[in-house]
Amino acid sequence: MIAARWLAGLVRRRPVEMMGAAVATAIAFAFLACLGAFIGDSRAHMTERALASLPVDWQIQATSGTSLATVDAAAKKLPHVRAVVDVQYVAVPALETNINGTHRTTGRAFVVALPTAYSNEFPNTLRVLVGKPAGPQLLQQTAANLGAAPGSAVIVHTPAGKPAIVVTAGVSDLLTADSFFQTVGVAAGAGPSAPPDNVLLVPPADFPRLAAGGEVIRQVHVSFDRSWLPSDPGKAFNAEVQARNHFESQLTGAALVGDNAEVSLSSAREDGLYAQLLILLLGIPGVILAAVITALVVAVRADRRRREMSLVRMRGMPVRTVVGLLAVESAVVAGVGVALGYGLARLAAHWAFGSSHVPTLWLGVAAGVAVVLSLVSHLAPVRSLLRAGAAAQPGRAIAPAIASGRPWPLRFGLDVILLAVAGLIFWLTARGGYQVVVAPEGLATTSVNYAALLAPACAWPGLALFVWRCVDFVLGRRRGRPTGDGHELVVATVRRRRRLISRSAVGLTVALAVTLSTAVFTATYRTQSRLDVALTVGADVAVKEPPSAHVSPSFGDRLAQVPGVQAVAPQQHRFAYVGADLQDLYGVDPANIAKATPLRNSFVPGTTINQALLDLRRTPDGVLLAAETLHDYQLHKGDTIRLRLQTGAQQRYTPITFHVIGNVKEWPTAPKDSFIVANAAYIAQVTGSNDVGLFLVKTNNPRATAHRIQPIVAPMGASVDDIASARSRVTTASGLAATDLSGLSRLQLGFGLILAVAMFALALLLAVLDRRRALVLLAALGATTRQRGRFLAAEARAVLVGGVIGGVVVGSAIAYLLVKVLTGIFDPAPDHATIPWGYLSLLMGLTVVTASAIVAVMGRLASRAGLSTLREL
Amino acid sequence: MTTELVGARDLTIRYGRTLIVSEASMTIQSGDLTALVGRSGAGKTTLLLTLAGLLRPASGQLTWPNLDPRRDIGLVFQAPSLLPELTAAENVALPLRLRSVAAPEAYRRARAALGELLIEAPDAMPNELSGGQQQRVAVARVLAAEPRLVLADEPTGSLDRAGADIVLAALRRHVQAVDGALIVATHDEDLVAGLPQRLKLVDGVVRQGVSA
Repeated sequence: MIAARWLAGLVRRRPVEMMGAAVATAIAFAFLACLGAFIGDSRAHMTERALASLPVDWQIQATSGTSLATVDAAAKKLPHVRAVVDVQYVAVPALETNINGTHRTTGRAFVVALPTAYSNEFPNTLRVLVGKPAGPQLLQQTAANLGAAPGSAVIVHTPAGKPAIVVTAGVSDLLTADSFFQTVGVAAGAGPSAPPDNVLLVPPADFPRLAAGGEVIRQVHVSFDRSWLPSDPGKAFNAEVQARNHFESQLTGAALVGDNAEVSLSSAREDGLYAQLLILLLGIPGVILAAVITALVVAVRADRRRREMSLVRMRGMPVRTVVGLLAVESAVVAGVGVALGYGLARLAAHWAFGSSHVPTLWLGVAAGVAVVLSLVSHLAPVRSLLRAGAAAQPGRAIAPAIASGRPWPLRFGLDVILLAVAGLIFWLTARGGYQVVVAPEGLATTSVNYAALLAPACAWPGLALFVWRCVDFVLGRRRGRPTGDGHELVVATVRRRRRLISRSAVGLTVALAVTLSTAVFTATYRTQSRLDVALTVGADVAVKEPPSAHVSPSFGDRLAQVPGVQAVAPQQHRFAYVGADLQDLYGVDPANIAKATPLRNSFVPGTTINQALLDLRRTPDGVLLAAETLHDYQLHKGDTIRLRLQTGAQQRYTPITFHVIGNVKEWPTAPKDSFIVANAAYIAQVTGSNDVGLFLVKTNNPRATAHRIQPIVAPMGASVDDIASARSRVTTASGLAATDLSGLSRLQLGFGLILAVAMFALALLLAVLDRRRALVLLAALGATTRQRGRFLAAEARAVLVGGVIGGVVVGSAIAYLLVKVLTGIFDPAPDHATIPWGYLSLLMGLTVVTASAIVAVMGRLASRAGLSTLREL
Repeated sequence: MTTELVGARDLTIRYGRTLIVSEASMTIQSGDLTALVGRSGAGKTTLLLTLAGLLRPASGQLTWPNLDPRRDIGLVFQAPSLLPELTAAENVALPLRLRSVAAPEAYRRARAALGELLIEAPDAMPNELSGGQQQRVAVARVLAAEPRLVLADEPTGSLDRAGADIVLAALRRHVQAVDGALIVATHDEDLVAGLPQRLKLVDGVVRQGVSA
């Protein structure tokens, strides 16, 4: 009964304060629930995405003595099976062509028996570049090696020693070449790392005569309906491994399974851990901040609550009843907050992830947190009164002592200790190459090096306390000159209230730092994923010439005339042998390449990209080689290397001398494994051909520019690609693709903006309320509105300047730590963080506008003396 | 020669729906030393705040013919009402500095006023002073500003007899020095006895007179 009356009184007399507390609870609830929605949503998509891009799930290889039909029959009985196709291949000594009197012979090659139905059953595996899809196909690189085109006769040197002639129908690209030629049944990394250089695809009917005498690899390629797998990538990975083990055990050694799905899920599982880390590093500080803001909103009427509770305690109300009243009040606030928060969470989730579904589990967790938060924030201000025997003090102290001195963490130097620990752990993490997620390929176990997270975890409170120390130090040394109308008194007030001001400034610092670090991290991620797509495509727009085309670099001048094109750079694409290893060779113009495509320092480990290009310009016969090539062939900078390139009209492989000038790790359009970068002019000179394989185009509007270029290059058979179109197609190195992170970043940045502004507004509001009596007194002593405003503005300015500078410093430091500790999420690793100036300007602008508005409006309202306030003086 | 400092005609003051003063008329002249008396809750504080210009009357006319109410009225509140983040001297100098009185002059006058009220620690923070000392600092703040009309609301409530005598004597000296007036709302009979004029507030009616 008394609780109902208490509540009715609160609703009637304090509706704004109660609603404010409920709204703050709603924000905390919604933020937590949305984070839960992100976890559920991103994990489900990770599994889906990991398997969606996988054309062939299993490559079941029959062991010797087992017929392919047996394996095929067993595969067809597998649950959820969608497609089963038999594939065979054999290694042959060589392929040969004799075209227009020119003989070309490759090294060891593979002949693959591939049914025509293969590309229908497993889409996105084979792409016909020229010619017809039906009939024998040469892979693109093989066709280049042999100088062959559709209709060319290829002599297959069979294992039996008898040459056989195959007339090619087309030239194709086997998109899954890496997994197709994997060595089934060996540990990851034990088989060849690169697919074979020379491959001929033939219909199954042609295969027996070509394979005679050879050791035939017999496989059944299988794809499954994967909708039954758990959405969590870790669980899906385990289920996949169990299904494969079960199948292998049933065949009792008759076949081995090359499980592509397992490899893909292993990677997704790693991404799942990165998502977990993102929640910890980006989400948790935000949740804590939201909780602090809720507590602050409730604290707005803490003083009044203390007095009310003192009064009822003095009049004999038992502690249990007081607690009961507060519990009921906090439950009502939490209930309203959860109801509002549920709607807010659904709206925010829809805005951030495109789905308003919030998992029930997370709704429960968020509701639990909201209730506890509400209860604690309501009870905490009056905790001293609730202790048995505590004296009730309804009146105000005659002259309340202002909080002075440093808080205990600063007295004990906790900030310095935390920063030292953070620095040490970061150094250890850096020494270990920032390996935060440990996911050994092919192994069932993945783990997170949670110790590495201690660096940001210690840095957060360490930096916040350090900002407190700095603000306290600066304000403690301020002395105002006795000029004007009491400037020295304004400064003295700020100096003596510095503990409260420093605390508010730290609150603003943390709020801004959470938002700023998230903004910088996600902007950096976006830049890097764009760069990743650009690396795959080549540039904003890439014009790829067909294998048989002869296009000179001067065609770039024509492309440069197309509206919207800012720069064009031709890039040769050849092949060169390093010893017996055939590698992609890119011929570039080092003076102009950087104008057309984004190049980063991370592409050339150990130097800068500008220096590497300069070295290339200064050394016409210079080459940049992959690290493994330098390692495997014991090459060093300055060494001479002889590469075999196709030269002259005959396109024979001829040794050409180059000089090693450095190491290259990434290059536009280059494969992940070994490749070579050299001067285009030198390659044109030594090979007698300046044919360009690719034109890299820089533009502000890739899609529109690609559309404009398309009709110009179509007659040559060239294809045009652009990063805008490719973004949805190209899977970034981290499966935690831009869609996932953009959802989280939207959520973080949206809530971050609200939280930062709310934090500052509340800090100021509390300061205004704290100083209300002083403002009224100043008015009574004859201070003008402007003079009163000056007292308030000085405090607001100190909070704002301290908070903004602190926020920028702490936010930058945390962003740096996040980018470094989560380096594994980026591919390639960023040279520097990307600063989202627009968002940050908006954030700072809103903070300043909020400050001005609160000082102007609240200051005026607060100092407008009512009778009750004047009577209290 | 006396001058009129406050003139009230048919002054009605309300606190919410409660009638505090009903159609009162009074005049305060320079040299007046007035005790404002009435039982607790009669509205003495509200009347003082209205005479100081801090509250607006519900109706009637209130004028300060020879005063600038912002500068020439000093108010001593019931509680000491010092700014906790300023020292005693800074609190006393505050009204002067707000009027742009030069700092050396303001602090000289502040120290003099504190000395007159026997406060020997001008650099002490308010929370380092006793309740009585804080009240004397608040009185010193009024004296240092040299107002012609001093309105004091229970100024001796937190003082012992000796302290009350010091405060009253200081206020009297000040009023005489500036040819001003003093109105003291009080229950202290000794204090009332020492003041020649009376303003008696009973059930919303103000009666102006002299001590019997």
